Order: sequence, then C-alpha cells, then structure tokens
Amino acid sequence: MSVVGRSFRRKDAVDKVLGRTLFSADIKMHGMLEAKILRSQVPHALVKKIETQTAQDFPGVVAVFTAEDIPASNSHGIIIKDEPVLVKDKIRKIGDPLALVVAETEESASQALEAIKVELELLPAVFDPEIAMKPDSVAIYPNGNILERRKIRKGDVVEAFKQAEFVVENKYCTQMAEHAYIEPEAGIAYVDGENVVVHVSTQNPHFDRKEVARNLSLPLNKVRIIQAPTGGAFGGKLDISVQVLLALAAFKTKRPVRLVYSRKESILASTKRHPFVIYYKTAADQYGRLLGIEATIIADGGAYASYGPATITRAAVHLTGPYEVPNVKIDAYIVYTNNPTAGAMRGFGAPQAAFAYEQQMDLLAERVGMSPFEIRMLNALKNGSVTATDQVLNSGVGISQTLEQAYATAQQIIFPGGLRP
Amino acid sequence: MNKAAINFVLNGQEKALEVDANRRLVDLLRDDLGLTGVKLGCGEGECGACTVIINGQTANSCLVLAAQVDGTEIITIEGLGDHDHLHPLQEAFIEEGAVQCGFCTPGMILSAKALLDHNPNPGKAEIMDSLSGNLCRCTGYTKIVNAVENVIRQSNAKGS
Amino acid sequence: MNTFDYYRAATLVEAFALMRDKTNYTLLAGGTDLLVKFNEKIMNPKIVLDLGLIKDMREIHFEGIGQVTLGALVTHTQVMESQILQKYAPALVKASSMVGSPQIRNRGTIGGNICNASPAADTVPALIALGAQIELTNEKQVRVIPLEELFLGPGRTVLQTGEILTKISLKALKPDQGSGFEKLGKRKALAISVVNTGVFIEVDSKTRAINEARIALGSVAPTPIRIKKAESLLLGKVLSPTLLKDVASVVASEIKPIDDIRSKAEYRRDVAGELVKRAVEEAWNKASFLG
Repeated sequence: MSVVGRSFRRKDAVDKVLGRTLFSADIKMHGMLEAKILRSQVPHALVKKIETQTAQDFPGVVAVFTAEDIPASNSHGIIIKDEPVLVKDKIRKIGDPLALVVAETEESASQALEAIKVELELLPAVFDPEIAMKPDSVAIYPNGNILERRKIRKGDVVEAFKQAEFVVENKYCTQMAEHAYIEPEAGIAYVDGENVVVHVSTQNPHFDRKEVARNLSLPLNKVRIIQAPTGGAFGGKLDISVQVLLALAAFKTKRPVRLVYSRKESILASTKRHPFVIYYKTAADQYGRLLGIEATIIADGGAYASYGPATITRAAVHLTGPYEVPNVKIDAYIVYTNNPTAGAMRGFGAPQAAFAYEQQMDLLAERVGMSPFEIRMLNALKNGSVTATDQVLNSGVGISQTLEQAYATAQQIIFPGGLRP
Repeated sequence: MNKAAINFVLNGQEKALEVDANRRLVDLLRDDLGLTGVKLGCGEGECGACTVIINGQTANSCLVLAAQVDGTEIITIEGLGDHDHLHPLQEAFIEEGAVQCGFCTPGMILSAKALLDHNPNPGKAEIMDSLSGNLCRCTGYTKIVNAVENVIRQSNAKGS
Repeated sequence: MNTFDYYRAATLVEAFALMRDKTNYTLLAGGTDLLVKFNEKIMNPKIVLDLGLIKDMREIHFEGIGQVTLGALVTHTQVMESQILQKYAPALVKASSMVGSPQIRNRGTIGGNICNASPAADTVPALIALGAQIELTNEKQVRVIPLEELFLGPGRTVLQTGEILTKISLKALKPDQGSGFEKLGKRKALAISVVNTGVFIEVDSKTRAINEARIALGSVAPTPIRIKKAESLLLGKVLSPTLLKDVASVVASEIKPIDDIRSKAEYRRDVAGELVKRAVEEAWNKASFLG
C-alpha cells in the first residue's frame, strides 16, 4: 500500500525525454529489408490480375508478395475474419492492400511498387450506409451489406407515445474521425531460430499473435509479438496493420524486414470512428418525466467489420443515457460501405450516443419549460433503477450527486456573489 | 543528381558530410546519423515531432533539405542531456507527468527550449504559442505547459 | 522525393549565373511549402536553386523616405520581431504571426509566401492592403509592379524564367493611417485560411472622413483580390456601424468563393463580411486614435 495516493515517476519517461526510446521505426537490424504496400486507389472493384514480374526484376527487390503467397487463411479481424491480408479478388475500399514489395532500400521498394500492374473491373461503390442497407443497394458482400443488428425492447413504446404530453423527434449525424496518433504504424519482423518475431506498434499483441499464426499456418508458440513503445493509438492500433505482412516477409525471406507507414498511408489504411445516423424520438409526460424512447442507429462500418458489432452494442445500451426510461425500442445496425473501415476509437459508440441523447434532453427541457439541470435530475438513474436492458443498478449510481456538484461549481463560477439560487 | 558538401555543428560536434541533393534533414539525422530522437510523424510540417533547433530557432526537419544546413548549428533532443544530467525541461517533463506516449516529447522539449533560450520569462500565452507547432495526440497539453512553467518558476527562484 | 541537382547561391549575381540558360529549375527560399510538394511528388524539379544564403535579401530597412523595404527572404519570425514593421506595417506583422507555426515562421519567407501563389497566403492580403510593390529582377533589369498584379491563378504568377522576386516595398504608415488583418482558420495554429483579409485606411485628421482605403481578401477567389467597390463605399465617410454593415454586405456579394475541403462558399461569404468589418475597425481605431 506504500504506493497508493502517491505520485510516481513513470519508468519509461526518462528515455522518452532523452529521445532514447526506440519506437518501431527507430530500429535497424543487420541485413534489414524495407517493405512497401501497394494499395488500391479505387473503392470497389474486382481484381482480375496482378502482374508482379517487372517489380520482381527491379534492382534491389528481394520479393513481391500477393494473396497467392499467404500460406493459410488470407483473412483477419477481431470479431469477423472478413479483411484480407492481401486482396485476392475483391477490393472494398481505397487503401486495400494488393501486394507487398520487399527490397534492400525503401527507395527501391517504392519504385518497384509503381511497376506492379493491376487489372481491375471497377464496380459501383456505395458510401452512404442508409443507401447501403437497402435490399437493392450495390452489394459489397454476397449476403447484403447489413453486417449486424442489435435490438433492445422494454415495456410498451407504442403506449408510451400515446400517453406522452411531449414528443421530441430528431435525426442526428456524427462524423468519421481519424485517431491521428503521432506515431504512424510501424514494425520490424525477423526470424529467430524456428520463431518469427514481430516488434510492432500495437495495442493488441495477443490478438496479433493469433492472426499471424493463423495466416502463416504456424503454431502459436512459433510466433512472438513484442509490443514496441507505441506512440499513441486510442483504439486505432487494435486491428492488424503491419503485423501479418511483416511476419510473412520475414518468414519467406529469412531476413529482418521493416515496414513504416507514411502519415498518408496511416490515414488511408487505418480504422476510423464510426459515423452514426441516429433517428431519436423521446416521449415525456407533462412534468418532463421520460416515458419512452424509440430510436434507430445506423452505423457506417466501412469496408470491414473490425470492432463494429461491439460498437453498436455499446451505442445501443448507452442510447438511453444515464436516465431511467421505462419503455424502450432501439434498433442498431452496422452496415458495410466502401468507406474506410470504422473500428475502435475512444468511447466505442458511446460518444455518438451521448451526442444524441443529451441534445434530446436539452430540447425536451425547452419544450417542457424546465432547466436542462432540472430535467436531468428528474430523470437521472438512481440506486435501484432498472436500465433499458433490465439490469438492476443496486448500488453506486452517482449521476445525481455528480450533477449536483457540477451545478454548484458552475454556480460559483458564473455567480460568485451567490446572487442566483 | 549531385551531392552537396555540408559542414555543420551537431549537438556541439563538427560534422563534414556529403549528402544527396534530395535528402531531407530528418532522414540525414535519423537514418545516417542515428539520432532517432528526431521523430517523423507527418512529413509535412503539421505535427512538429521532427522539430530540431537550427541556429537557435526551431524548424521542422522534414521541411529542410540536408543541403540547406551547411554552416549552421543544430541541436536535437540527443544534445540536451543524458541520464545523469537531465536538462531542467527534461526533468520537469518527467516530474509533471508531461510524458505519455512520448512520440511528441522530443519536439515539445526542443520548442520549449528555443522559447526559454530566447525569453527566459515568458507568460502562459507565449508558452502555448511556442508549442503550437507541436501536436500531442494523447492531449497532455496542460501538463506540458505546467512543466515549462515549473522550469521558469525554478529558474526565477534561483535567480532571485 | 525525386532526384534533382542542388545549387546554392551566395549572391544574386551567382544566382543569375546559375539560372542562365536553364528553364527547369525551382527557386528555394525557406522550403516550408516546396519540401511538402517535392516529397509528395507534386513538384518534380530537375534543378533546385537555393537562394537562402543571399544575405541582402534577408534584411528589413526603413528607407527614410517613408518607405519600408523587405528582402524576399525575410522570414515571418523576422517580420514579427521587426520594430520597423511593428510601427509602420502592423497588418503585415499580424499576418506573419498567424502563418503556420513557430517552426514554419522561422523558416518560411515573405517571398516564398508570395511566389507560392496560394490564394490563401496570409501575408498577401496584408501586403496588398499596405500597397506593396514588388521588384522582379533578372540578370539585366528590374521591373517593379504592384503585388496584386503578380498573380494569375493558384500557383501561377507573371514571374518569368530568369526572374527572381527580390524585394518588397511598402509606404510606411503615417499617424493618420491604419491597417488591420483578420484570419479565420479551422484552428489557431497550422491552419490554412478559410478566409483572410488585410485592410488599409487613411483618415482625415480634422473631418475624420476616410480619405483612402484598400481592402484585400484571400481564399475567396483564384488569387488574392481587392474589393474596390467596398473600398469606394468607405471614401469620404466617417466610420459608423451602418457603414461597416454596408461594407460587409458589399464584400459578401462581390467575392466569388468556392466550396472546398476547408469550407463552403456560403460560409466564406458570411465570414468574409465579418472579417472585413473587424479589420476595417482595427485599421480605423489605429488611424483615428493615432491622429
């Protein structure tokens, strides 16, 4: 207990202030090769042919890999394995990886990339999830573009709206966001005896290990992932970036291989915060007490599932906010589009939900003629409250006290003389 | 492509090198000279991770050709201190918890150093302005500014 | 970055000698714009000619005949720290202080900001408002033109092969004159302007009526532009809230902004009017209170 309540110097801070911390892109190994990824410039297409011979013959090039070279399953994904390591037949977003060039220098690798010829059959693309979810939409996947649906049902929403004195109904849209961690994705892999070792900027080394093992058809104990000091992530380094390709290249060439994304590539290839469309309808009685909500969430999942199914679960269960709502009907959809893949990002669907429910509360307060504070106090969850998913909150519900304290502090700041109640 | 002969002082040491005309300073420092404390975050002067001090002024080393630094004096994070002798800013960054992922840290410290070398007693607005070319995506700005303020406070206390 | 040959001139004479008989060269000043373009392969010069060492192009002078001159290689940081410019060209100092970041301002130059010919360049509306004349020099002669006549379109100028922008000259502000600058970007630092504006006015010290006015805007047309209709609206009048409002609405209707990644045309119109209003007020306050 000697550490509780005391501040300590971070163990890693000294090396960081001295500039001595070795991030993935800072590591050099003897005989190291550099890798570069050829990425799709179109959002939706069938791949007819990838011609790599010219690139292969390029001076300094050691190997060029395509989907054909992946020893086992050519797919990865934390929940659904729908994302190819290298695209074999179908491109689903700009930035999809098509080929990997491994060369003696970064420059050779970059130049060889330009020598790869890709034959494509372009397909119409869809970027709006509300259009993508319609049955007649361009199909990104054979079974339609709705990836998953979550529903919450509690009480009788139809009755609640019948009883309502006030109804507030709105559509909320939130935007895509890039994590923009200061360190772009990077890693270095090498073969150590029978093992392949990947030193990588990541948040998810155990997942990385399983995927590398699956894709390369290696036993788990032959794959070692070392999380390098990671220059920010915020959820954006939970998915596979360089791990599998690096392991593949090191495994095949038997030489250390480094792969460092440029900022542009990082933004092009990495996941984003899910953009949401939320249709939100709130019913309240004459006193402003919530009677029910009926809402639909349509999350733009982009080209691959990533953490999308989990994100809509979180969003749906958060959509009532910290308020007690007796009657609830929520449908949440995660929909594939040809946009950048959406994944985990700080809050995981909850911030998007908060944007909607807090606006609804403000607008409702206005309609009822209450202050935003009063309406929240009236409806806040308490010990013993039951959530939309029927969880009984037996203890530890602090929203009312938090609101009261925030209100008191705000009063002191705004009216230091105590003129207002 | 031709090469350029450059002579400059790097962290107090004289350097005489031949560089490719299209070599960026950031690549020269990181790849050829092994000064990986200089970080490459964006390559277009937006993030400040590659900040170095050239003739007393901060610069994005991704926006400078190596050939351009002939005759200059350059300081990188490696030139500031070592494990046994931390620079006061390095000490303050550790003490204040101003270091998180650490990728922006070298640039932040160098921007703060250039400010304090120029103006030993800046106000908060000047500190914030001097750090405005350095992004911290962990959003630890408050502690970073506190760290710089602490250095100023301590040096004022010593001075008086 | 593609390959190129690099040369560095220590004097203008050397620069012209290096430029002689060459066409596919790019002049390098601070490099803060060019390095991005080289790196992204948006520009692929065969020859890069670095002017950075030409010492007399790095100086700011008060010429004593009410004229201020800046060498084209003066950096934004130099502008900000110059007592001459703080006194005689405050709108330019303000514009330079809002360019990029400290790192960019330490290396980015006035000449580079001008010759880059971005419609959003921050110093240009300030300089145009201050009546800047520029010297375009080649091996044989110097021609002097008003800055606003330099620009043909985004990235395009009347600068000819063999010419270098060497010097910018301004009339030093007098006590009955004032200048203002306003910029709106998405953030306070490292933001390319959504709209920017520079304003100059001269106020009659007795009647307080405006004698002369220049209003320049950036990011609202393919080149930085003057809004002469708004300028003439100010002439002969004392500044009032109504007059400011009228000027703002003339500005909004005269400009031809576009939608792009930074903003919408409609928003630019609204903001342009408001920014001009503030810049005119700033200029007026400086002029009338000094006078």
